[in-house]
Parts: sequence; C-alpha cells; structure tokens
Amino acid sequence: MCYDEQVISAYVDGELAESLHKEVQEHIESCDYCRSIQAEYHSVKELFFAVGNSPIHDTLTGPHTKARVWQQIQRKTRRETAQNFWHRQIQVPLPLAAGVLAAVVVLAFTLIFSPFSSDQSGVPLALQEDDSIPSVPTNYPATENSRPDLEQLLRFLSDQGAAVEVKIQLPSSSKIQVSGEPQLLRAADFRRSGE
Amino acid sequence: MKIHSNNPEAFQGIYDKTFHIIVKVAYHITLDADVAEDICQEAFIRFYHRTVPFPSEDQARYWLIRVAKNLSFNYYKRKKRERSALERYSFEPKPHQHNGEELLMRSETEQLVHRAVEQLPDSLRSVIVLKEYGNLSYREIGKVLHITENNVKVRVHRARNMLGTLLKEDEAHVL
Repeated sequence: MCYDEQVISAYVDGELAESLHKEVQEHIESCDYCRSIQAEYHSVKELFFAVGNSPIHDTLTGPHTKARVWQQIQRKTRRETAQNFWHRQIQVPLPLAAGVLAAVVVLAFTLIFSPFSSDQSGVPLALQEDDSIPSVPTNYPATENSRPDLEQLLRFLSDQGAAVEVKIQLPSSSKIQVSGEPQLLRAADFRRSGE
Repeated sequence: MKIHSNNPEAFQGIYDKTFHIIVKVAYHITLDADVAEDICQEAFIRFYHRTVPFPSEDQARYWLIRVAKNLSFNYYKRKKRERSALERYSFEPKPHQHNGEELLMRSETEQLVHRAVEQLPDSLRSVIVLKEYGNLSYREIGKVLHITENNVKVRVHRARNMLGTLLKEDEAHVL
C-alpha cells in the first residue's frame, strides 16, 4: 500500500516519527511510484537548499550585516527612549491603583469634614463660652463663680468710675464669614412689606 | 520564564538567535536585501517597544518572525500595486527593478526559484519560505502562523506540488 503524498512530503522534511519514517523509507525503496514522488519533492528541496547557500545569503546573515542592523536598532531605541522619557508608560497593578485612589478619597473627606478644619462656618461674633476675660482687676469682689460675667464686670468698672479701654480681637485662626441677613436690609424689607 | 523585551540581556539573546531567520524570511518575500534589513530592524524595534512580556523565549521568537513576515508581505504587496499602477499609466510593462549588485550575485537557479515562489498564493508562500529558508519545523511554523501542525503539512505539500509544476514550466520556457 502506497503512502499519501503528504506523508512522503513530511518524510522528505524529516518530520515523521522514527517508526513511521523507517516504514516509509522501506516502502520507498521497494515502490517505484513513491520513489518518484520522493525524488520530485527532494529535487525541489535541493533547489531551495542551493538558493539558501548563495553568496547573497552569506552577506545577509554575515557578521557585518548583523552588527550594522544591531547598531541601527540600538541608536533608534536609545533616541526614542530619551524622547519618550516624559511620555513613558508606567505599569501600575490594578489593586495598587485602586488602593491609592481610595486613600486619596478618604484623605480628602477627612480634610473637608475634619473638626480641626480652620474653615469653620460658625464664626464667633461675641465671647463664647470657652473664651475668658484675660485679666480681672485686683479689687473685684470675688463671686461664687470664679469666672466673672462680662456685664457684671462692666457694671463694676462703671461704679468705680474707671475708664476702660476695650480691645476686641477677633480670633486669628478663624475666617470671618457673613452669615444671616443684614439687620438694615431686614428692617427695610419689613417697612416695605408694612406699607 | 517570562521574557521582557526591553531587558537588554534578553533582547540581545533573542536577536542573536533570530536575526538570521528574520533577515532570510524578509529577503525571500521582498526579494530586496536593503528592504530585508530595514524590515528586520523594524521588527526588533517593535519587539523592544512591546510592553506585554512573553511567556517564553520561543514565543518571543515566533512573535518576531510573524511580525517580520507580515511587514514583508505588506511591503511586497504595496510594491506590486505601485508597479501595476505605473504599468497602467505608462502603457508598457516594466520588469521588477533590482539592485545591480544583487542581480549579479543571483544565480540562474535563484532567479528560477524566486519566479516560481512569487507565483504561489501567500498562504503557501509563507509556509514554504519559513520551512526552506527559516529552517523551522512544522510545529514552529504552526506557532508562527497560528495554524495546526497538520495544516502546515498540507500547505507544504501543496506548495511543493505547485512549485514542481511551475519550475518545470519555467525550465521548458527558458529552454
């Protein structure tokens, strides 16, 4: 039984398994038709082999050509690397990128809504509970409460006939913001609506 | 081991192992030594700029050979279109222009084989060039072209049959 031409073609290329290669070889030795097919394929292969060993191949694959192409590649890649330094691609793993993004979002929220933020909308317009009068006259009668009331203090100073210079210092750490409606405008609105 | 193409040692190793295959494959598709060198250079530059690592050195080689093969066919087809457009314009067929030195270096056998291979369809031409000039196995050709080993066997066989007929016709025509 003759082998398929594809098998003989693969045989010429040495692509058959060892056992099949031996079988085909034995068959070809005894079969004129398969031998002619094998000879035809072999002659085509021989032509390619002859072309593959021509002088131009020696030039193409020679050390000079190889070195020349290598230098050109090196020159181009170096230049492009220098040019692309500021536009280079950086690979960041997706979990790391997501983590950094989440951290930035959390930090931003913390800064905006922090109780320590300097951007407080409730600006103290008068003395607050925590603010105390810095100094108390020495002859001021002691009260139950060690912290004197502002009105009591002013009354005491008035009774003493003392002149007092009041300096109002706004908190330096807070921003002053306008809140609520101005009284004059509100009065004007009230008059207009009353007319 | 993964291969990062911009790693200098890996790049040089693959260049040393693949250069001779790529330049021969490019030359036998474009039939121009200068263009083959340019294509070889372009393929390695593309390889260098590839950011995705290769699973193995063999995969990197197959990728490079595939890129060089595609670049070569693109060049060949573009040149063919330009030649046919020029022929239509000037109303007279012009033979393919080759470098004088190259023509001198080419033997009659080489020209005969080139003429026959040029007439093969691309699918058979690429397989026979990779087999005969690239000295790749059926398995390697399959990896380069993304086809099965059996398909490579079939294509090589068809290419050989066609070449046998074409070469006989050409020889008879010359004689």
